[in-house]
Amino acid sequence: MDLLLKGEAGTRALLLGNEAIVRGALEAGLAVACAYPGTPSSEIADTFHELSQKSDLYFEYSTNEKVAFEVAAGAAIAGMRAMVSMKHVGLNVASDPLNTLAYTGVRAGFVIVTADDPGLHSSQNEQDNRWYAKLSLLPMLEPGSPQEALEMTREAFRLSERFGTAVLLRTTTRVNHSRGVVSFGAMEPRRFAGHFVKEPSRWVPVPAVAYRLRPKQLERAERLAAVVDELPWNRVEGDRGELGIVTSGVSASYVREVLEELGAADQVRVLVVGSIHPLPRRRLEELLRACKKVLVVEELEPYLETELRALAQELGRAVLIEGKGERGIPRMYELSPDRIRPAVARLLGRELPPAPARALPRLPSRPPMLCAGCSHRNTYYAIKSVAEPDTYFASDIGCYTLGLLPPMSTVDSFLCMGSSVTQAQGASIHNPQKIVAFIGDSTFFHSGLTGLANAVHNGHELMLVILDNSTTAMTGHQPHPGTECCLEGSSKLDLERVVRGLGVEDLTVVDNGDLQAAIAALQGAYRRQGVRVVISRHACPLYLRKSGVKAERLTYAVDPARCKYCGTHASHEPCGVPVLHDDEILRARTKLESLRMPAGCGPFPGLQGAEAKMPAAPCSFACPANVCAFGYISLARAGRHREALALIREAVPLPLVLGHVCHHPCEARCVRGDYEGAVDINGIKRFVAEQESPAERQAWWQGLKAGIRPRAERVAVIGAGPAGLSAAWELQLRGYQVELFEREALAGGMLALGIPAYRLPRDVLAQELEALLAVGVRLRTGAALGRDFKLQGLLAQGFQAVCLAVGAWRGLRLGLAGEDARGIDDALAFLRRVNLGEERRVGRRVVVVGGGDAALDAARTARRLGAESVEILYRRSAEEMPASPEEVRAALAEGVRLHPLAVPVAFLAEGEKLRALRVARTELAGVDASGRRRPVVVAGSEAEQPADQVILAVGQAVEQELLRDDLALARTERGELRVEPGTGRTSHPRVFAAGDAVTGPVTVVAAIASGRVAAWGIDQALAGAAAGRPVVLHGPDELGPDGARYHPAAVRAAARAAPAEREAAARARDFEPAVGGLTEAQARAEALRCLSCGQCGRCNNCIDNFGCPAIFRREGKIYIDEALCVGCGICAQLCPNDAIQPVAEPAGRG
Amino acid sequence: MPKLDICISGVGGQGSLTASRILGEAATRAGLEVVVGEIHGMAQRGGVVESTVRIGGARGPIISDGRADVLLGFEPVEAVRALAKAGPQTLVIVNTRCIIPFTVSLEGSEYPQVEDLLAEVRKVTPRLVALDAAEVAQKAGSGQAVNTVMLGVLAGAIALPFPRETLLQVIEESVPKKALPQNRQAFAAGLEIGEKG
Repeated sequence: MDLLLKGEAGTRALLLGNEAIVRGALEAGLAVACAYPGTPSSEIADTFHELSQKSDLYFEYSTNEKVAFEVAAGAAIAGMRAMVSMKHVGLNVASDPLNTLAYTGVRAGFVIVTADDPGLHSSQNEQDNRWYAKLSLLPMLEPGSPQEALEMTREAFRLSERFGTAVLLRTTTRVNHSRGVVSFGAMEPRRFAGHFVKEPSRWVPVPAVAYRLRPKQLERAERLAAVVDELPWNRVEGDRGELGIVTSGVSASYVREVLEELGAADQVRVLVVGSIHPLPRRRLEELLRACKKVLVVEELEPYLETELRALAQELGRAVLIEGKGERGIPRMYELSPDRIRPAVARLLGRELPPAPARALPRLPSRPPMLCAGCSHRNTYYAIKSVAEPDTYFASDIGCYTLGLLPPMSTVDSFLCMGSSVTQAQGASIHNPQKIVAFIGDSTFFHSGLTGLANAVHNGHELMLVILDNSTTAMTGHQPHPGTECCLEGSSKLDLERVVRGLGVEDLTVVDNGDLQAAIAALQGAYRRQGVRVVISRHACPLYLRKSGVKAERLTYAVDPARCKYCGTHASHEPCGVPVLHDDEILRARTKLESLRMPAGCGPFPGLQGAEAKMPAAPCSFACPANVCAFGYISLARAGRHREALALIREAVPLPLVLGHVCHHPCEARCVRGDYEGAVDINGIKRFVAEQESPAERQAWWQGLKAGIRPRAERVAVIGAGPAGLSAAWELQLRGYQVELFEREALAGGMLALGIPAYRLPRDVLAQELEALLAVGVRLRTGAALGRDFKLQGLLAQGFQAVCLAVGAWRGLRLGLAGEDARGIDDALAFLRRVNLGEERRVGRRVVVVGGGDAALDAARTARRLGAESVEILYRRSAEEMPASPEEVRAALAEGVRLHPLAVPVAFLAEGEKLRALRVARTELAGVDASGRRRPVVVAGSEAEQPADQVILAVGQAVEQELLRDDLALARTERGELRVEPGTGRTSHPRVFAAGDAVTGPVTVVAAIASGRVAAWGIDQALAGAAAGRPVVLHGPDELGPDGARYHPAAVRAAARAAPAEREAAARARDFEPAVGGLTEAQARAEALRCLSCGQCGRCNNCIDNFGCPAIFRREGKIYIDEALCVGCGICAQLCPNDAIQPVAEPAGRG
Repeated sequence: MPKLDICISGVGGQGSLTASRILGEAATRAGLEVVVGEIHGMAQRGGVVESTVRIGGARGPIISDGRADVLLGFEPVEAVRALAKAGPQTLVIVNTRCIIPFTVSLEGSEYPQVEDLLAEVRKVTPRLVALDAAEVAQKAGSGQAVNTVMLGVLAGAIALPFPRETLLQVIEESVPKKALPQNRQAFAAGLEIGEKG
């Protein structure tokens, strides 16, 4: 750059057009330069800035173009040669002083550079600023190369002083940003004789004065017109023939090139116009007289063409003039040799063959985007996580305009510098829509201040976010009034005080490097009303690097153990259900808002080690089948019920049955339960399952069936209860030939024979069983193990494996005196008879002994059959009852009476018929083997309780006789089958077991889960390495921190929805469903209560919603490019899986 | 005066603009007429960057379709994107090291196979030199020297209208002193690849 300052006349150097302009101005003795940066003019300002540090030249980055114009004009009026430079649209801002300065003129040379951008390389329009010359009548020169740029700039100052007027120098991007070899001229000394000479008749253009200035302006234009013909840049190349071309600027070089190419350089008179205004009239006249046909080759508007046509008319010349038009010179975008070639050829009377079209393959697009570490991204991410979907984002001009593209999509409009502030105000009138306006710090000082004053003054509804990255980043990190600047005596304006000074009361300042704080600040302002301003501040990382600020050199890496892993699927294989972008944001926000984050630590300080437990969703770990609850809840929230159902079915085949009967241990671990009550997870499951039409259900199983790749092996499953059904389904899907043996006349096991119809409507059960079996399972009813066949026999018949799912149907007895009296019944036997329709009779006074679900089912069933009184005796306290609380509550409402801390000690009979029980009270002593307190009979508390029926529900066991004289399978002490965990394999290598036969009586969902595990075990045993997807289930003991992650203050209160329940007295008389499902509104409200606590195997949040270019995905995995990562760490803050961790800076990075 | 039109395409941040300036400067020192066409503004933001170097004759900065003498592709997709500038006579030099655009991650699409991209080049011209310039630069001791490698390949593959020494000298003036040996080596390695074709 020193070369520009010191290079002597005759020096040849390769200069950018913009640098050549600077040299030209210096050669003309420039004293003062001002600018607001803007592509393609920025390098003029930046070069002046650099040179001003090394010389006596004054340069300033002014607040906007109007300011720059007026400062420079002020200097020129006070006698100092001055220049102002700006991009084309900047002249719109400065057009107010321009058009009056055109009257007053200047004393010292004043040159205005307007850098036009045909082709819109980096502008919002491609306006043709040549019209400003015609509008203001100011002289305008246009160079076509760096050499001309230098010379014309120098000449512009001479013209300016000779005629006492400002001169416009119009450039285009291709001249500003081209380098060419330039020969320097001699330097004139700079003059610093600044002094304003009073002359009111010139400098005070009140109407009377302007009235007199106006004829002078016209006269000046006349005088100028008389001299421009002699300017060397108005030149004719070629002086033979009757064909002519008029062109200017960079287009002249295209004309020259195309004529050479066509071998017609000497056949055409080419007039290159260097003075756009006034035009070289004499030369144009000569051309019109000499030619029969003239082509005007100019970029953008038909400026020269219009003038030429007018002149031809004036001269009465019947010249054929061609210019803009479909077969002529394009009016849009910049020209090139390719784009003018056909028109030039046509002028020569030739028709060129159309260029052969060459098909290119589809290439990935590579739009410019916010840089890695860009702080605007933080603000955009934060606003996206709080804004309603229809929020209107009024934006402005700067780097942040790149937020237009996905994944941000946070730019909905802009017009010009500062328009966000004001467009948002206008749009808010009579419009309830949420609107957020964004403006950069530099743009705010440029043109936002007046708009903000307007909002305060006129009481507009305005949320304005000032994106303060503490520099003018877009154009190359120039200073602005809110930053430090190197000029002597300069000061930095305090943005907060400026905003407050404009009358804004509601102001929040936040460092968006803390994403949580940014979200909180934006959410607060978003919810408030009136004029509120958020200054979202974080310095541009590129600017910091450029200015030598040593940041912490961290880089970040993705931990593949956590990324795209939910913690429940084996082999890190994600489920088959896509996640929603909104849900990713919600999960990330929940994490950000609710984590207890100790200062200076990563999000999970306790989880850095390899052995750290997964911070998985407690609901899905608590579910014996690991159903992805938060996954289907998020899908339900979005109304994507079919996908939600598909996700549930990945883990369990009977979602609608479970939606009715599941004891939902998920809800017991729901983090929401620590606040206003757990999310009704099971209710949502039931809701999404209920949305499926019969046709959809059929399509579902037909799709599954069609996808089965059959295998030859036959597998027998014994027992068509939940475990056996689940095992059979899983095996069938894995391709096996499955036969399902059931001793009863119908499938369902406990679902059909144990659970009463008022809890599980039989049509619901039937439709799900039908769909399950429809994938190809062959059901053999009436075939009982031990009675009709043996395991040995099955294996001998060619079944390669057997899955035993025979349940635990033997009811336990108490072993009390009188227990064999008539009227004493077993709960399972009772329920079975009722469910089969074999029993409609019940005692008048019924006593149920026990506290589990079977006891409650029996009691409520007895009530429905007409028992006058139903009493439940339970030996521990009510809180310790294993039955689900809602069952107990419903039973009590239906008139069942509960007697906790009570046990029968004897049954009293009259003859063989039961008459009464002797009941003792108990109290609770020390803890027993089950972890509960042991009941002890209180001496002397016995009393007689009349009863004509007693139903015992005190435990169930496996029927030992089933395997008599069969394979001797290993058993536990309690008589259950002993199996290998994770595969369900018994002591026989081909016999597997699942359900209550293994675990003793548990729950439907646990039985279903164990059926799938046994199927996986069989698959491994039979298929070996070719086995399908593993079924690996996790227990709640494997949970990492869950509830402890959440900060109560951040969990927004929302009460649990209650499904419709039939009135107790009515429902206690029949077996119709007692409790309805959630309504759509309730299901959605419940889904919104979910905190999305867990990890997700399909999470793609960093790419879907954050979009840092340093993060990329290859073959389904996410990585961080350490060469691009600037170490801002925002991605680590927002990763919902906590999969992004800081790592030490890699060696070799400086 | 002999004419040489070079089209350079790459991704912001790769230094392809620097390469065009170096070529322009070398030509200037040799007393040749040269025009270097650049488009600024998006270079830092990961967008496509195209520049031109036109040696000989005072011409505009834009090269017509199909008429480039050399297409210097700093990235395989960008080389193909700029392929309209190439014709059957064009020498195409492609750095095969991919820079995967973010849009690929976002859309879940796949970046094309480099072999397929090179096949596209071969459909237009048989004159193709493909190399992993990043790897060559790494071997020369500086991953930053991709630029220098590419210029070396160019100097090796065609007869530049100015001495190689001038080019190397301009390169040396444009890099930090401590990186001089690595850049010399990178240039030499590029030359060798270019000479082999």
